[in-house]
Amino acid sequence: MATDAVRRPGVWAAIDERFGLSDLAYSVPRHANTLPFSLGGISMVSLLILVLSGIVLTQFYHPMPEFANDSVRTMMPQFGLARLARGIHYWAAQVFLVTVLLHMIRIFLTASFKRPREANWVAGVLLLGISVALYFTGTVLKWDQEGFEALEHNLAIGHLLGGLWHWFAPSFSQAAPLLLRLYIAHIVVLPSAIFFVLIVHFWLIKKHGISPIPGNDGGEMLRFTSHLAHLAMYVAVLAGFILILTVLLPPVIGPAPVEGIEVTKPPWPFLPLFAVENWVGVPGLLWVSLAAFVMLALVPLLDRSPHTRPLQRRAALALGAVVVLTLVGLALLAWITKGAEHLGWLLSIWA
Amino acid sequence: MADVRTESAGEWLRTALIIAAAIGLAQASAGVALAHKGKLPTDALSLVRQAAALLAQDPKMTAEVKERLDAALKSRDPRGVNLAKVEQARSALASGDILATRRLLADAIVPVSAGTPAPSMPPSTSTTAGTMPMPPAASTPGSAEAVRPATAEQMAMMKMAEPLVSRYTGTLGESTTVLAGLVLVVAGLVMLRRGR
Repeated sequence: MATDAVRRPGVWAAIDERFGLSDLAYSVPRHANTLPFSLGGISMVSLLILVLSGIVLTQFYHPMPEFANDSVRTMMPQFGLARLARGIHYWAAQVFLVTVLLHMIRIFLTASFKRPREANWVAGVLLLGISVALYFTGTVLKWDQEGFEALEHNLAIGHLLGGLWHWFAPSFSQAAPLLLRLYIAHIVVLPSAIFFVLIVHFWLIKKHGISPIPGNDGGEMLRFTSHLAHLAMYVAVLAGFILILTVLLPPVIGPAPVEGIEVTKPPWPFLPLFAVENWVGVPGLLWVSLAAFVMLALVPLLDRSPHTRPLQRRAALALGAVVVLTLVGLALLAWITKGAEHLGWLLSIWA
Repeated sequence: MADVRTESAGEWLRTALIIAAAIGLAQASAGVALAHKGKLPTDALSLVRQAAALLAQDPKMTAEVKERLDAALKSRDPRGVNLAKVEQARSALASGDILATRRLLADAIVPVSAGTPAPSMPPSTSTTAGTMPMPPAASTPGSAEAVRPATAEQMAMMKMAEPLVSRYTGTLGESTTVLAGLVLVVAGLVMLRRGR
């Protein structure tokens, strides 16, 4: 016992000398441990859960169109590793996207995007874009009617963009079907991109520090390692809920796709766009999405005042609230109304 | 203070105008999409497959299903479809029996001798190959071959036309996972409470 006590610091010192782990004990403000300021960390852990469960799923999923839907179906009847991994992957994806969105709302509310953190806001918008792309490709991969119609929308948008989205054209590769290419995008290209941008994101957080609560620049500090330990507690709760949901509400796999019909509604992140599409058609889907992302990226330029307190930013906060309420309203509208056929023109062109 | 507020309001008014302009642009270009309407396929097999898929997704889409069944019955290319079953399916649909309609539509897609050419698939199939598996086509409605019991292939196809909803069945693995989840939730909440 005594020997262990003596040896442990020595072992720790040896490890620390080689890996520099004690550098992680830098100071962060105490409010970093609150839930709103931990949302980014929670989404990061969700992403790691997605990577691990995704690796397991690659052992069971068949990315060729002829077998994709059936390969997902074979995961589901009995509760085993495949169904567990798919359930965890599905629910972690929901948690990931929700926490990313809440994280961005928190950044906006606390004006954490302001000087000198503008570049990190733009990195965050990029991360949101890649996250949405990951969610989208994941939806297509299950290759049911919902996924198939999502891909048809993707093709329609590609058609609108002409040569810009040549990657989606059948002529791009005769040997590899689009589903296979989307699978590679989902498991290699987009994860690589997201981790690259995350490195930049984390570097900028380290460089500028965790943003203060508006109007409260001082305050107690704690070690970053203590923040990581606190984050682990949130993650335990999160992981517990994911496991419970995985068993009690396993994800559904829809029927194998049939061409030429539009009958499904998209998953919840795309419901506001679906409402827009019902209203103005596929071009509206494209332009509104592009406009939304450009506007989001431009937020630091549009709100350049140095003020961070809510009372000094009433116009900005009111406009932010209008945007969020509009998105929620559009999603609810899409949820309760019947979808319309949007791709008929595209199918006519193909025919 | 008032100047700051005015400046901030001005900036965000500008933002609101840009958003409005973007939405206006989207609306202006929307007419392009809405001006074109989709055409129904001409072969009965595609029409019946679409009708079955529509019913599987949303049993309320009876008008769209009826439109396709009517078109299938009038189609000049009835290969791969038992039209008598389609007729029965249309009657079942008219009487509101959705389950019977779905079963009859699954039965209407008939297996026939190999080597007979299938109705042409839409050109997009080359991009999106792997939609609902299609049996070999071409049969004469009412022939012995057309009314034989469903084969394993047909059964598999019917299964693929349904959503697969898994449920909690209380197996040891499921119960252990739920228990592990509960332990994690409780442990996390207790530690968070202590860590305040």
